[in-house]
Amino acid sequence: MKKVILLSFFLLLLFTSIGLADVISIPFQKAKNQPYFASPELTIDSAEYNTIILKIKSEQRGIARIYWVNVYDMQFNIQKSIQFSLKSGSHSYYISIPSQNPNWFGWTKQILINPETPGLTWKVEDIEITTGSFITNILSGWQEFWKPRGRVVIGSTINVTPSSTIWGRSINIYMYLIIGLSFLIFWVRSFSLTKAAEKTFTIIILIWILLTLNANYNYFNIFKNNYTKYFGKSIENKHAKAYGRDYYDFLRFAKLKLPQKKATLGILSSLFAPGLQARIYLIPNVLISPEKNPDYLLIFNQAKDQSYNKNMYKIHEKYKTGQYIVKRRK
Amino acid sequence: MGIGIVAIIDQNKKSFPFFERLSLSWGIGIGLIGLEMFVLSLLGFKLSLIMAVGPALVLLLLLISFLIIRKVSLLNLRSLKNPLTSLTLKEKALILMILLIVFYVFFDATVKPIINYDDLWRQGSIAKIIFTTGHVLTDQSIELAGPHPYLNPLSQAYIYYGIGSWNDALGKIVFALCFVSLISLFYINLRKNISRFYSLVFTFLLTSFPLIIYHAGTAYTDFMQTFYYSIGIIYLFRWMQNKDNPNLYISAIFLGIGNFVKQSGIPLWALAIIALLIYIFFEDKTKWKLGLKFILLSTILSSPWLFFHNSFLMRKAGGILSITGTSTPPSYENLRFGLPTLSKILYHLSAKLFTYADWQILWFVFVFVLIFYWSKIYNSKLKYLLIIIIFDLLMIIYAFYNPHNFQFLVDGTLINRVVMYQVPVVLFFVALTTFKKLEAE
Repeated sequence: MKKVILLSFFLLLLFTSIGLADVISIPFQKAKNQPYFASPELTIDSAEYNTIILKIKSEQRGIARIYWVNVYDMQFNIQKSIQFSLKSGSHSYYISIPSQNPNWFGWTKQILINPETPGLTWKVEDIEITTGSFITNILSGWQEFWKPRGRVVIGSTINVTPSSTIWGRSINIYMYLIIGLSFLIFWVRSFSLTKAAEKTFTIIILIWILLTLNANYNYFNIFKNNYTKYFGKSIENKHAKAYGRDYYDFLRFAKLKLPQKKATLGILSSLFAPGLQARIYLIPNVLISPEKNPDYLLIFNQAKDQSYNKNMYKIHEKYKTGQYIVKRRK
Repeated sequence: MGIGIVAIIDQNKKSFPFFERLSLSWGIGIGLIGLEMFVLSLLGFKLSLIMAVGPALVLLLLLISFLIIRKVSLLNLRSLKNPLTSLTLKEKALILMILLIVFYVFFDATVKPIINYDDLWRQGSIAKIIFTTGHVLTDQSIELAGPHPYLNPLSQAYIYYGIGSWNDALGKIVFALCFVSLISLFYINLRKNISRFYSLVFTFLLTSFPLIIYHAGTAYTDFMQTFYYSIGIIYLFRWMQNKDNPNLYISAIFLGIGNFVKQSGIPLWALAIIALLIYIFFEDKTKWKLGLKFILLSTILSSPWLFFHNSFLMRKAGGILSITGTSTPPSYENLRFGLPTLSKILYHLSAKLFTYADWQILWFVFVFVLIFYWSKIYNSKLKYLLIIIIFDLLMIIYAFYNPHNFQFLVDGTLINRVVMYQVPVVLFFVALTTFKKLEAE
């Protein structure tokens, strides 16, 4: 009986893996002066072609994201994208798209692959779109398990830590299924709920330990990152690393030039939440204020849509082009 | 100072051996120094290293004098045994894994400066204000603290006073030490009921929660609240189990200091008191005086904050006593996620508890244990630990009925931090509920 089951399983694997499906090879081009690779305009039935096989050569480990547009939405956006991890060297990446993102539908019109790790030296060597098979689904699920979601946790998990996923579902769901299945097997074998529960608990502990080791692997990666970034540096250099060297130097300048008395302060910058670092660095002499017209404004590479009333403020101190302090006229 | 207080509580040297005293002393010591600094600042003193350490040293001298007169050992060194005797290979492997995580937590906490949102603009900034101005309550710190108490920034400022400069990376060593203390006390208390191997397994599992590990390396207050609350509840349960009074006093001290950590400390403390009263009512009515001592001790300890005008208690009391009726009801128009209902709350809560990595499979196992070990729980004191856990869960559900809070459940910005407070307690409950069956195997 076991042999029959194994043989059936093998045949199923074989039939689903052998290339019965069409494979479309897409000529991707690197955009001029841009880090991304884009396909020409396509007309692909996403229901039939659901798996992308990428061959990418990268000199470093990193993160990339694949985007697509369809006839219903011709914009490249995060909703129609999938993030994946890149290994260093030349590797094939299997992405069974509908299992990771439900927005793969209709006629797919264009595909784009963009690196998310700054300074990545990489090349997309080959791209194929095909109908997923048992093998490609397994490979896709395995690679998804190692992808950034649930792995790259630095600075992003003060509230929640996403779990690793396989085929778009939390790894926990599969663990619950294994536990449930184990319980059923123990129950059928012993006809005792209590004995089945006791034996299942041993399985639970083993699964939990595996999940813990999975989390520990993430800590190891964070450790490596933090070691390179911060270890052995003075507290000033640690701040510079954490805030960004340019911004840190500007804050040091501001600390020297701002009055040593309490004053309200605002910040105009294209950086994300620049007031956070400024506050902890500049207090207690200044009070970062939400008020519209504070005593001083720090201007650090302001965004195009950010402005202040130039009649109301005058230049107080200048540091570099685009980096200066203005003071409210009395 | 912490060790001195533990020694006074355990004068008969029966309750707390050496390592337990050492682990308890950290939480008690840093908590009391924080309270002392807060009181001194309220009295108008400018804080400095001498101001912070001086009164503590005086208190320590008094404690030591008392202990010498009473011939009480400070450290209970006689209880010290070689913990490494006859360890099996599996136990050695578990200890190694736990030590690696401890090393990681220390590294993560102290290698990087404060980089996260709340600790940059709130706790970290207040700590720096306290260190540079010598005052706890300034216009800025009051604005930044909002409704939250000050133990977290005070303990960081204490470290800054010690090293003589603002170093927000080293200031976070406080939280790494809380982590070591938490896992040590967790292990020590499990070991009183469970074999060494399974105590190590469950202690290892306590290091498996990514959110706890992550928070132990930041200056957020949630992990500190988890530390004080979990230890307070574990010792409260120990007392319910063995009626050994020092356990109750330790619980009162930890829950009392917990009131000074985060505003949620006060409702958690109130729920623990209700659970204690339920226990006394159903199990042993003669213990009502002890119950009263528990309430008094924890209230007195936390009174500098408890009756401070901005505390959770006083704001609630102020709201109830206010009879002016002029306040306008909050407007709940334009809510991003609509009005909360029980089914919506449970849906989002279960998604966060069961499918994220934060708690691994803890909550699934908790439900599993409730189903299959129900009779054991019901027929033992474990039911009181369960009552406390259920109270906490109900409090969380109640809190998210507020439409303003509900968005934090849906977008996940608060829920798991609130759940964190009781996670070590839930794991402790699971371990105790299952251990006998496991050992029988």
